[in-house]
Amino acid sequence: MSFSFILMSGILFATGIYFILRRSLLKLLFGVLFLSHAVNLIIFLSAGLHKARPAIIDNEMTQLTAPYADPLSQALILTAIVIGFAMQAFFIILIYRVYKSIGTDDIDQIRSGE
Amino acid sequence: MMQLLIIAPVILPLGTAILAFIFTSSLNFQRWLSLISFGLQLAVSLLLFEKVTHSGLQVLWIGNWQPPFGINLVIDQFSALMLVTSSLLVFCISIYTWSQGINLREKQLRYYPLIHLLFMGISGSFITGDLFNLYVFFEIMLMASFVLMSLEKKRSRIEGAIKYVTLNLLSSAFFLAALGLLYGNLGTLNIADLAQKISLVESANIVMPAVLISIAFGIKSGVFPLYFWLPASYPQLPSAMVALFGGLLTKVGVYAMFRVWTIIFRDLQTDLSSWFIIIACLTMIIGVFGAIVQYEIKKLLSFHIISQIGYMILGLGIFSKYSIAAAIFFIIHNMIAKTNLYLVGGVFEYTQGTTQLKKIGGYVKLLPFLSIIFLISALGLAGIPPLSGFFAKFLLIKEVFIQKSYIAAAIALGVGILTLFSMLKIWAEAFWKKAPQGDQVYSVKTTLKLPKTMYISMSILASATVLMGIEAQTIFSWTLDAAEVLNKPEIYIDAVLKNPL
Amino acid sequence: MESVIFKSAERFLFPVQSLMAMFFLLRGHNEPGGGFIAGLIIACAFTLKKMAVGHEANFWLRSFSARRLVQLGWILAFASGIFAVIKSQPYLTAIWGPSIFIPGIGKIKLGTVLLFDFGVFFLVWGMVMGIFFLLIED
Repeated sequence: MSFSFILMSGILFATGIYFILRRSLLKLLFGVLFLSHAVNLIIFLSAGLHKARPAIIDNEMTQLTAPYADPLSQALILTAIVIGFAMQAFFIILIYRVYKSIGTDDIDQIRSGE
Repeated sequence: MMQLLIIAPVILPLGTAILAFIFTSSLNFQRWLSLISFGLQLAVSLLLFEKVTHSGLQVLWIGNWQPPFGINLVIDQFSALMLVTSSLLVFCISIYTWSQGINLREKQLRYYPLIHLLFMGISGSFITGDLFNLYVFFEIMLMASFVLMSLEKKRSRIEGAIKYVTLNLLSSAFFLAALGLLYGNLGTLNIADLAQKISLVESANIVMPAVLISIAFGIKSGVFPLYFWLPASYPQLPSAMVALFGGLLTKVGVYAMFRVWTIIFRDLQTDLSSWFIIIACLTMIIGVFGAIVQYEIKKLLSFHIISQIGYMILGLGIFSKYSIAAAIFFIIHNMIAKTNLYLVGGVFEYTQGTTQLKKIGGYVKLLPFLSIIFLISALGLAGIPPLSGFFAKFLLIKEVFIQKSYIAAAIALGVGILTLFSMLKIWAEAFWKKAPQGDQVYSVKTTLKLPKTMYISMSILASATVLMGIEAQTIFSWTLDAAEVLNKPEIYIDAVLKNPL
Repeated sequence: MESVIFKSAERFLFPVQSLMAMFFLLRGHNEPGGGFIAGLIIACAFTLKKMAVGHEANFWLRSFSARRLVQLGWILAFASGIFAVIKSQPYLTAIWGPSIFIPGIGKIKLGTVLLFDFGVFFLVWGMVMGIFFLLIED
């Protein structure tokens, strides 16, 4: 099970990097999105997969019984997703503004700094 | 009360940002609010520094969670020193921008809340004791800097912004991937806890996250193969802001690099130290050569940022107590001197509307006092004896010699000479030579008037450079204390994990 | 968007979404849910409304300024940590108050955590709604 997650993460990484290396602004955006998803998968996997074992103590129990899903990595991934969400929202608007300012989708038209 | 004091460097800018965001209509209110908040911040940092010096590391577990599960804030000598320096810088910049400074007029109202959020991210990164929390503070800082960078709709600004944003998003992705791998291997992200457990895992498993994290921090601080976004985006900003960015943001990356490599990955460090030295040397050389050919002052200084990051990484690469202490000394000196040079560059922009060295001149007659300030900071940066840069470089290069890295020492010395050369180029072009023909300012009036606030802020920073030179002994003893903690992680681990709630 | 189906469907969806947001907000206390999810849901409700009503002057919709919501949320979240400081505990420590009973939802224990959740709710609501409105209007 976790192998397919690893594979998925790898594919997302590869796709993301491939898109970032393209010349189009929109593909740059997609590349960054894919990368952040790939990274989120890594964090998700970091605590191992436990199917249907939330870290919630049952009513008749006094403590958790192993194996249970690690809640901390889920908290981490939630934070990462939220932050990534804000970043991507900003990035979309920035790219839109760059597109309006240079009038084309081609990154090579960006001239500043040369 | 102590608990409030430890978290104050984060809460204070946050509260100020909220206030500034609510009362956006009055510019005067915003100015006073910023000045008071940054002044308080400076006071708090000094108090914390005093506290750390006298009673050891200060630790706070936010929300009263049991260690090592909660998020904690740790203030040691290193972070206290960085806090003091950075709050001094923002305090001076807030004075500098009082009268105009940022060229944003009506947009100033949006500028103030962002600047406080930026500073919250910066000071949060300095005091956090948890790697994931470090990531969060980094993102706060980046978000604010992204918005500040693209605040104006000018084409060059947005285009500079897109490089900056893309590279930083990439670095965040690497950082996060490293955190995932670390958590998977060790089950914790608390810095002290990581340092304690890292020896339990095979070092082969740690190499990958260590390298990823270094790439992430390397992008943020502008180390050799990853520096190219910096001169492409920083010079597009108005001078006061580029002073803030150039002076502070890259140093946060360097700080994180020091923290991670000294406390967590120190076992790997011994294998990789030659790599660090090579990268440091390349960074120094590339930066200074980039600077030499530039005739635009902000670009020139941006390349110098890169070259001086090299010195700091060199101190980390040598990895002895003295080299780390010298590198910390160098960071503090560099933050102050570099920021002041940017502020001087801002004066050119303010008076002539350009920062092209070819188009300006004659400032030694126009603004004699400014030229003194410039000389102090520039010579300080280049490392001329009585000033802070001399001691910073002297201590560092001496230690490099002692550790027998002769080539690195030679390169560091050579780069110092080239730094002096490009500083003198600014002096010759902007101050010494006559103003170019047809120069409006020069032909209309022979003396210029600067707002007093600009002079005040630049004088504070220039005198800080001089003071650091005179009081080098005291400051070096402080940085030695800081290096002591970094060199013996047991002190850090004990203070954090054995601290009764 | 000119679509009769969309407009009339939206009229039914809006109250459902708003109620669902409130439900998730209060449920987030001990079970899955919380301010963030609730904020997203209600922001989606308002975005749908905006898309259905369009640029026509809609006084009721405009009275929810994204900016004000963000400010409110920010203050609430910030203030929720201050209570702990007054009780001389580390910032953001949860302080619990009495339980109250709300008909239809059940018993709710008051505390700074709830205040923080409300802060997050308003912040996310304002932020996401602001982003969407900006993109729609542009």
